[in-house]
Amino acid sequence: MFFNSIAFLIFLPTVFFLYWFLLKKSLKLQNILLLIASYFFYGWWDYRFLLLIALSTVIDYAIGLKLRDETVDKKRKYLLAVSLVFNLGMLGFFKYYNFFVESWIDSWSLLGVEMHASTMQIVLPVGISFYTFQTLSYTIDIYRKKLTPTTNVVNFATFVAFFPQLVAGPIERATNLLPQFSIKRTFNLEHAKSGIHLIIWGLFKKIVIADNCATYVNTIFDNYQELNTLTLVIGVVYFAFQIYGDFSGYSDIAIGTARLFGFELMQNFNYPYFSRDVGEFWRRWHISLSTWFRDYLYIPMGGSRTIKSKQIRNVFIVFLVSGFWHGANWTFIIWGALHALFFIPLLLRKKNRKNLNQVSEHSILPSFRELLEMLSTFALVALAWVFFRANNILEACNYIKRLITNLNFNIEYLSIENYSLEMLLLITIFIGIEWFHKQNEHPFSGSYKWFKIIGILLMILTLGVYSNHQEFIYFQF
Amino acid sequence: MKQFLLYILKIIVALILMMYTFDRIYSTTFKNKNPRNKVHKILQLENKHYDMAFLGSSRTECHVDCELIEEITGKSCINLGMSGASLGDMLILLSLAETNNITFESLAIQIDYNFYNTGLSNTFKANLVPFIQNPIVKKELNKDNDNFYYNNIPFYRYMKYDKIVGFREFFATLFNKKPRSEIKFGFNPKKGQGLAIHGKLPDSFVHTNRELEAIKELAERNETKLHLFTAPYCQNINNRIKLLELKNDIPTILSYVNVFDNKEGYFFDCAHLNHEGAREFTKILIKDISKLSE
Repeated sequence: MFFNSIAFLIFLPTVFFLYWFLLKKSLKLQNILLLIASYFFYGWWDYRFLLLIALSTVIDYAIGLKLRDETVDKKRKYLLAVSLVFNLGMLGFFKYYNFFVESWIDSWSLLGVEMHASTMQIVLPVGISFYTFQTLSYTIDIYRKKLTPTTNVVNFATFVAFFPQLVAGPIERATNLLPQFSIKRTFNLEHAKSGIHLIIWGLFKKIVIADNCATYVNTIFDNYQELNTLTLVIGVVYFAFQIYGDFSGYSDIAIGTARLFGFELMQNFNYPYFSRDVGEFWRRWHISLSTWFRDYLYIPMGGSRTIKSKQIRNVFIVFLVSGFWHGANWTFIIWGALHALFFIPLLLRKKNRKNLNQVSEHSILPSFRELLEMLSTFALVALAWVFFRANNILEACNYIKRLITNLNFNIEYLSIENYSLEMLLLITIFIGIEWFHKQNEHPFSGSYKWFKIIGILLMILTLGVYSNHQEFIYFQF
Repeated sequence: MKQFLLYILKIIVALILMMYTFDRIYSTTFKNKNPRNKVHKILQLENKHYDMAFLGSSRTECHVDCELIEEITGKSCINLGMSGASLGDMLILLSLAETNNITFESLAIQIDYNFYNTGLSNTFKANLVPFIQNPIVKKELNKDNDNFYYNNIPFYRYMKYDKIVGFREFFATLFNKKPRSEIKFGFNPKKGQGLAIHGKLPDSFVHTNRELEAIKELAERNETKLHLFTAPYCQNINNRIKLLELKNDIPTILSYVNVFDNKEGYFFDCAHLNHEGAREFTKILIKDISKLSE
């Protein structure tokens, strides 16, 4: 079920009504309702894959309890290994099997050896990368004795399958989300209102920004061989905003929906395109994933508290794995590698934690230096996005090559009917709204709150894309 | 909770009011402002007579130069060809013209792959939605699965077809922006040369088309001379033979499928002539139609 579908428009108020009106007095029943609703939400897409979630739930629940009772280090390690092998094995099979087989064949063919192995038509279960990482964090935290396992199977199952963030995050930590299932929840007006505001803002980002950009991005990337430098630059900028609007829009709707039920999910985006360096970008983009990698991969490898060569190795590993997490394609790995290359100079100069505050915190406009820093960071990030969007490495390289060598800056009409520069105006408005509200999580605050709500609803109605329904990009991961 | 429900109610009411208001504003604009496409043109036009009219898909729109026909014959002419138009679209367009007392002395309809399909094209349907109050339009749209929403949810129709009658088109209509394609004579030639094949012709053809039969009845009722023709295709298109065989089912059809077989320079792509080819084709077509009309 998609957040921007009619089905969800019926589903959400129904669950909300049952949750707060019918089952208000029983925490247990509320949790059971959320579990059923979450399975229904996921099953709407493909009920067969519910079995995977259920299996993952049962195994990690059991391992969690065993880890609590086990005192022998070796056995604890063994239990953790079982959880890792099972979860990563499932992820590996569904997401990477064909990639490994094809890469194996390709590498032999480079040596002149022709191999014939059959790949399988494997359907990738939606959100498997997200819930797998979520359950992994549970067992790892128990193993590290940072978390006491829950003895309530319903709470744990609901934590794994919680519908607002099940298919595209934020990837919640058990330490943050799981305890919330055990606490009696009371309805909080301001909390619920902010949830509605986040949903409206998320819908705007998805339907107005991301989906409008998608139309142009698809046309430009499909015909890049015939287009000039200006159009190709516009294509990359549009994709940067498409993926941001799409993914951060989803996260806002997820966080907002969770708030309607009295839950607080972690922040996943914090105005990443206002970052002054790539280090800051990664503290603001897909925060739940980057902190996951920081806590469960980077720091255990030594992080930055080791010799320089190992620091560089650690950064590379984290970014490559992050790229690979996104999908079974070399383009994502190159995307990760590029970010590692952008980040390492900052690390070596110890500048990676230079910009910890929000840009222009106490001024309306950025300084010239801040503006340059933001633009150069955006340019680097956008360059890497070409690899993220392209179908293969060759296509990405050719796109960049043409962008650099064509050097024609005439305004071009695209084969789609609309004139692409109109979209720039919309993006400029969007950047303006974000800039002036960057201290808040959404723009609906202050004395003109209703004016802003009406304005955004108006844009959703009139400028939203409804005829060419675009799935959320991160569903594929 | 009560306060929250009230808050939600306020948002919903605001949303409904906006939808209702925008629905009215969009509809009024499309009905009253200068038309930017051929469907809106016919829906707004009344009591007009054309000596000749041409209907079809882009293979009519790009191929028949009505200005040239007027020069050659001195007769008034309009090209009502529309990209992707089906015979169903043409039938509805003619019915709307009939209602508005737009008459044609002679009508030429392009028949080829469209003979195989029935129903309305998406673009045509989208262009009808602002005129949902028109009885013919209402009847047609009521056949659609979404008819309940069209009739009961304000602004739904404009959201569903946002690419065609959404904000951009509304804005362009409101401020009388020049239409993307010429609609006075309706001829929009293609520039360039090539024989690229986009899509393919269907494998088999039916032997009758109920919408074509209805068009024939409508023409007869209005005493309009009806001519059917097939525009040229390049030689490389698959199943071209099927188009040549259309003559078996429609003996009166004027078939120009292979008329430019050795004139590759006349093509923009395999299914469309370029401007030069279109002018040559227009001359051939008008000569034949004039002969038949005598």
